[in-house]
Amino acid sequence: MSFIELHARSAFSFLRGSSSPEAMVTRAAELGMSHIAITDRDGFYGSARAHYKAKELGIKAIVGVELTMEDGSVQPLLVATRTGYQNLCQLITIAKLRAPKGQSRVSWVELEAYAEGLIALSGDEAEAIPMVLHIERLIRIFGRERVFVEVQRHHIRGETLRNRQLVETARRLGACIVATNGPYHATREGRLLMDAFTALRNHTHLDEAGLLLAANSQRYLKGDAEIRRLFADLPAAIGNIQRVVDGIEYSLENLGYEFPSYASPPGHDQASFLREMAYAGAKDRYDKITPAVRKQLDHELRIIGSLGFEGYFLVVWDLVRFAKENGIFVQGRGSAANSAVCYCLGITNADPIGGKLLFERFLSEGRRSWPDIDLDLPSGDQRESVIQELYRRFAPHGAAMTANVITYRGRSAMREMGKALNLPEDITARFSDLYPHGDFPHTLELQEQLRSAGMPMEHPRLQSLVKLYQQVYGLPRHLGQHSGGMVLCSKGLNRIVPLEPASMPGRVVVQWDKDDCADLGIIKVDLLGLGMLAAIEETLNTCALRGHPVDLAKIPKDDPATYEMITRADTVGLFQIESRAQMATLPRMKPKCFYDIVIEVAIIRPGPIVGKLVHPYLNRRSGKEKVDLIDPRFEDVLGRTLGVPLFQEQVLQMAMIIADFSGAEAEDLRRAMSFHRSDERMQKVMKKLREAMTFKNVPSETQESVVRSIQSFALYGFPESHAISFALIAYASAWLKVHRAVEFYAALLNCQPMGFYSSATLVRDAKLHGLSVKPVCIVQSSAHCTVENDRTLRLGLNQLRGVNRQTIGRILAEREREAWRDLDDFMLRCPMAKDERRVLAGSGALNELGHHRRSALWEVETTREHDLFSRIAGMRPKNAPLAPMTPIERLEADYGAMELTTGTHPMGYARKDLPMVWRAIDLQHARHGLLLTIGGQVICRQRPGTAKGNVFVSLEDETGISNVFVPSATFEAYRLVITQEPFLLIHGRMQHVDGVTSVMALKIEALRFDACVHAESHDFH
Amino acid sequence: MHAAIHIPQFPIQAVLSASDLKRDAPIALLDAAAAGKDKDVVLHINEEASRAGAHFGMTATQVQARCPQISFIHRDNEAEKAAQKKLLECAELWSPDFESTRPGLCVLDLTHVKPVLGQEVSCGSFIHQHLARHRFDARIGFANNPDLAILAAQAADPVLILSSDDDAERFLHSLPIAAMRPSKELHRVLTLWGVRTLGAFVELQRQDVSARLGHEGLLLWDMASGGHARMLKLVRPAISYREEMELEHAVESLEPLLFILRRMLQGLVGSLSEAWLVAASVLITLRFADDASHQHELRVAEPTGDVELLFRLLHTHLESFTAAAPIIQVALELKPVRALGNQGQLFERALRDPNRFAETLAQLEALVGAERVGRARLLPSRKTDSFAVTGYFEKAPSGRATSVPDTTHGLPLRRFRPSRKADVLIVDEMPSAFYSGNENHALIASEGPWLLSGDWWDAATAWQKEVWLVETAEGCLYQIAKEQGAWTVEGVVG
Repeated sequence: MSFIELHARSAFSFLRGSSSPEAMVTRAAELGMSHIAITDRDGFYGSARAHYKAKELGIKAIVGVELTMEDGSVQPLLVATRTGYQNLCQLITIAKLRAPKGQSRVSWVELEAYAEGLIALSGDEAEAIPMVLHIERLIRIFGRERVFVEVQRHHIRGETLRNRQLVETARRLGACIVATNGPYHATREGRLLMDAFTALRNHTHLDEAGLLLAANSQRYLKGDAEIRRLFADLPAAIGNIQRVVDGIEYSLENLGYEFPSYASPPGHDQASFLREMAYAGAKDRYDKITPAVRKQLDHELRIIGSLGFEGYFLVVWDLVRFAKENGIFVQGRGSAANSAVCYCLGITNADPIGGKLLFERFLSEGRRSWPDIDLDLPSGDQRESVIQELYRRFAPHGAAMTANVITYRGRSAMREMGKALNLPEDITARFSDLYPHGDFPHTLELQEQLRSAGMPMEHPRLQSLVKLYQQVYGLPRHLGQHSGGMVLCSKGLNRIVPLEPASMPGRVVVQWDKDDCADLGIIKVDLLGLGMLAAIEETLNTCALRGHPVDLAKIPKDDPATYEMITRADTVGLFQIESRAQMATLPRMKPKCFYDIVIEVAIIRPGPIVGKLVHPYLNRRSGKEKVDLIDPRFEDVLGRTLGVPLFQEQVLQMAMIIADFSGAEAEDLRRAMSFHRSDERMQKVMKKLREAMTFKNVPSETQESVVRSIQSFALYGFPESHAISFALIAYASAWLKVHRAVEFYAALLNCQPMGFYSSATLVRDAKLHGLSVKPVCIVQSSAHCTVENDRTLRLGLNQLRGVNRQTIGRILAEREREAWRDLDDFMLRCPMAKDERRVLAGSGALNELGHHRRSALWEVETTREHDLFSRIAGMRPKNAPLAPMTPIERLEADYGAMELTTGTHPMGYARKDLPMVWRAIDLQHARHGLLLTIGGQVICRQRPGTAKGNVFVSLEDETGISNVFVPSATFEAYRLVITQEPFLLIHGRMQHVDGVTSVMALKIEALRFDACVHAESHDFH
Repeated sequence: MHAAIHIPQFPIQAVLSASDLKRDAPIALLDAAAAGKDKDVVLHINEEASRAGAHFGMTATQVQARCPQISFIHRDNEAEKAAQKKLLECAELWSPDFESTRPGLCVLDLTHVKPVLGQEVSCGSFIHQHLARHRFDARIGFANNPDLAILAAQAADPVLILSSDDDAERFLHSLPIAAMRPSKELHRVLTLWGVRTLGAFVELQRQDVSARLGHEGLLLWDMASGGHARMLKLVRPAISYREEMELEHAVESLEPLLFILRRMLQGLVGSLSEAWLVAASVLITLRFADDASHQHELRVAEPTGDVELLFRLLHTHLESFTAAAPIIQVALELKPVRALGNQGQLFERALRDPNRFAETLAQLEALVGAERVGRARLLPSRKTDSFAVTGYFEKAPSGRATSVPDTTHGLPLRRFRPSRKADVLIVDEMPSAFYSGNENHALIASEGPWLLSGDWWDAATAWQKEVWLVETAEGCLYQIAKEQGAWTVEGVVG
């Protein structure tokens, strides 16, 4: 047999391996290995990826681990049977859950208790003499058949003697020797990064790491010929590998995962109960159960039954019911919205029958993986209560969050590698500053970026830095928790995958991320927090309290005022359609019905943009281009999107119609289209599609059109049902903005941070809509922003930066008890930190107690103490000698205390000095092509991946928002000014295209503003 | 009358005084700690950078956005110490009574310096010129009390004299609050109050200020209202055990020099012993007729007050010293320390006679150079012979374990120093013979290669090496190595 590596480590050993599991497996396949064992430290973090990659390449990934033992030694283990795997999962879970995050220690006694089904390697860390004792102990625990003594040769002095001793020990104890190379990286070059990781792991840098670093580059994955040459004198060491492999019957293919079943009421099994609940729901959802509804429900129930997914639907239904019973807004999204059963169970709110949605996008008979049901919940405490309910229901160890693998990206990669190379911190800090949110597409070479960050081009470490940066980019850095993905299991999740504590108290995470879980068939329920749901919920509650309740289900879907506002791109604060790109499309799109919103949500996505589908659609919509359905048979499928396939369902239906694809084949196509799959897979499906079309005698031009349409957005497919779910929320938010504006704005401000715009912009937008926004007031304000009347909202104490929750609670409780008599009374009854008093006084919150801001600031500097006279009003002289603040000073104080102002926008004050600068509101009157100058506060900088390096900047002034298009070259010329300056003056050329106004930047400069005004901007997200 | 000498933006000027950076180009000094931030921010900027829109507290990148041609410098404590020393030296030229108020500022009491009174302008100009020669742009303020002089110096260009109370009042009225250097918090409160000048500040009642801003506020209020006389914390020179002698007749041979040195030593050691001190080292400085000079510090193993011993050290050092010109000046300085109070080892000291050992070292240093005498310290590297020399009396730097793990067993290796060049014949990827010197060795066995490499991250120091252990037909074991394509015989085993 040819050599198989049994002791390879990947980057998922976190700083103990420098190649991804995929790279290790790929290299193993290249070297002709039939198997490879990935044994990462204290976890199966990389096993799922290794397994999937190995499967793709036609080899096998052996599951293994290196356990950190109680005495600090490291014990490599391979999984032989499913029992062994379950044992290891439990063992790691025990060790992880009792230790602080990132640590774990297994005792030898525990290992003995969970030793069944495992194979032990002797390891490569201990010295030769303790190794003898170690091997004896392993034989005691595992038996000599399941212990293999590792011999390794790395061309290091002293290993000859060590290996001789090991061979002798193995012979004496009757154990087998095996040859391994114990690689840390796939190729020789990986040694560089491994050394850097070693330095970082030891909290030092390469210059100081000395003997901690590798002696040479031999710890790479070696092939059969090389290993045979090394072990020419020990052929048994290679021969015995087969014995190990023969003993391994387990792979992750056979995980033994089962989704929890639902405890049906007596007289029902899960299937009958699901049917009963679905039909009961159908009665509420549809006025009449028509034959079409019945047919669809029966079809879906049959498929659900044949796949055995009844329990899954019932568990989710039960969870939704729990949320609703507890007054928590919940709405399913994703492909679940294609299911009439989900709609009838109340999981989703979009009618898939009315919307002609394709159920097969959600579930089909050929489907091998579980369907996704994603639930949107209001962000914050309410979502947490649903998560905790799941933990409670499936305790112990039945539920856990999926992990989120945090990888080295631009800034973190540069920072860490700079640290390892002992480079001055200010170079890496400037690199980070220069390339904020470093993942947008760079239009500069890395070396050029480094040069502009202050790294001399002749620096002797420059080449190493570039190499290390490139090697580390994309490798796992640490494990976080996914924002909402939960996995559930019927028989103890800790036997399926190791669990470990998350940084957040009360949370447990699995060692795999959501894609790993999906690949291995572990079902995930996404409980996603949506700030907008929380805002809508609060709006509805306020409306109800104010006596004009709104039932979301009954708001008219054809409200002209709502569509008119959306068409104007007056969408600040709305869900999904508030971004710069959306705003630029809305006036061209001119939505007139709900389905137009669905398209609007879906069309400004990477898929349609990259696939160049946006313009054809808009052109066809405006009559500039003829509708082309590709094939007359697509009338039903593509008619509603004017012949442009915008949704995944359409693509699947096209394949089903023109190539007779079955549900399972369509599912293959869907998976090929999803994000992280390979081109190869896509090509395979495309080939199949072409063959099927040829078989059906489809003309070659049509075939080309079909294939081109599918491939054009293959990378970023977006299901129609998902767009419908989002559009529902988007429309609801728009309707509320038009008809319940004051309540809506108050809720938006309370739910910050969320969405695209800061509180400052929301307040300015509210004022532009004729609302009066009153400042924070110690007498009038509540903790949150409140509605005073139909046209007035009052900012809450929560808007003040630097006044903590407890203080706010105390203020409200005291005020509830008795109204403030004066400032002395307030200060006596509400002792608080001096800084908090200053924030209150500086923001004007104390003005209603008979002061202006300055006099209040004067008063709050003295301390008040209870004494005989302290309760007598007017005992203290009121002689504040300070002059009231000027308007500019008030502006500065507002931004200092709240990062927003209810008064004049900063640009309002600067205007008199900028006579040549156009106001945002006037731009619509400027003629196309006019050279002009605009100026304002930067509220948004965007550099979408689809924009080829071009940047979109939004400037806000006292009249509104002006949009600027900065070509890539101009951005590079003014990069620092654009990214660092809070106010900009932009000279450019006016552009009016299809009712959308923007300025193309030609020259950009900082607009110096005397007042110190800082507000958050939405940058490069 | 008091004078204050102020070097504005002291950290920048301190660095610039010792560098070649152009002063008329925009410069920003970065520091994290002084600004109370985690990462470097601008602590000071020069006028050019300020004109471009840079200001305190910006990050380097923000400054770069406004001023692309900016040069960044970092704070340098050593440079600041040196600059402060220059400043105090300048002060000392005018008065023995002066205070080192803070870095970049000193106050002189000129009450008893009669020539200055009435000549403040020329005195100020002289100070300004004097410091300009050391590349400092100073500001000098004269006033009747130290605090007022300090404020005057802050606003001077380059000299400001506040001779009467009226002058002082007018001047103070419009002076910005920042000139008093209030603490960050107090400055923030005053800014919130809209109090931006000293005039506005003193309009507030003293007791109100005291009730709200506490002690610091009160001190500032007093300063803003004209300050009052206070005692200076005078700088007094530390006693130095140094003697210097200009020689009437240049000395050309060792004998007379030693005679002078012995006499100087006796005097200095006598002064030391009066203060219950002993000498830890002797610094000898010689100036020659050709303007050259020689300076050398001789460290004593165990601090001593023994004249003979110190003399012997000097003697040994000077014996091996030659100069091109006769000596015209001699200076000797002893470093004073308290005599050792501990007993050391019970039966035996670590060194039988530490001072004799020191003498021997001095002799060795005289022969091979000071940097080549000391303890060899292995560096944490696998590179052969990677070591550094630490002086015997220096503390070894603490660090990680520096010993190479013991991977060799059996026979010892006797190294050839330097390694001998060799030609090696490779057959089947293994050495089969080598030729070194005039000897030709056929090999009957070899073990290896042991591959070693390191420092790959630095193009200037990266290295790699291949090592073999070979057995010759004569039965000898050699260690041969290949580095940068060349083979050497490193040693013989056994």
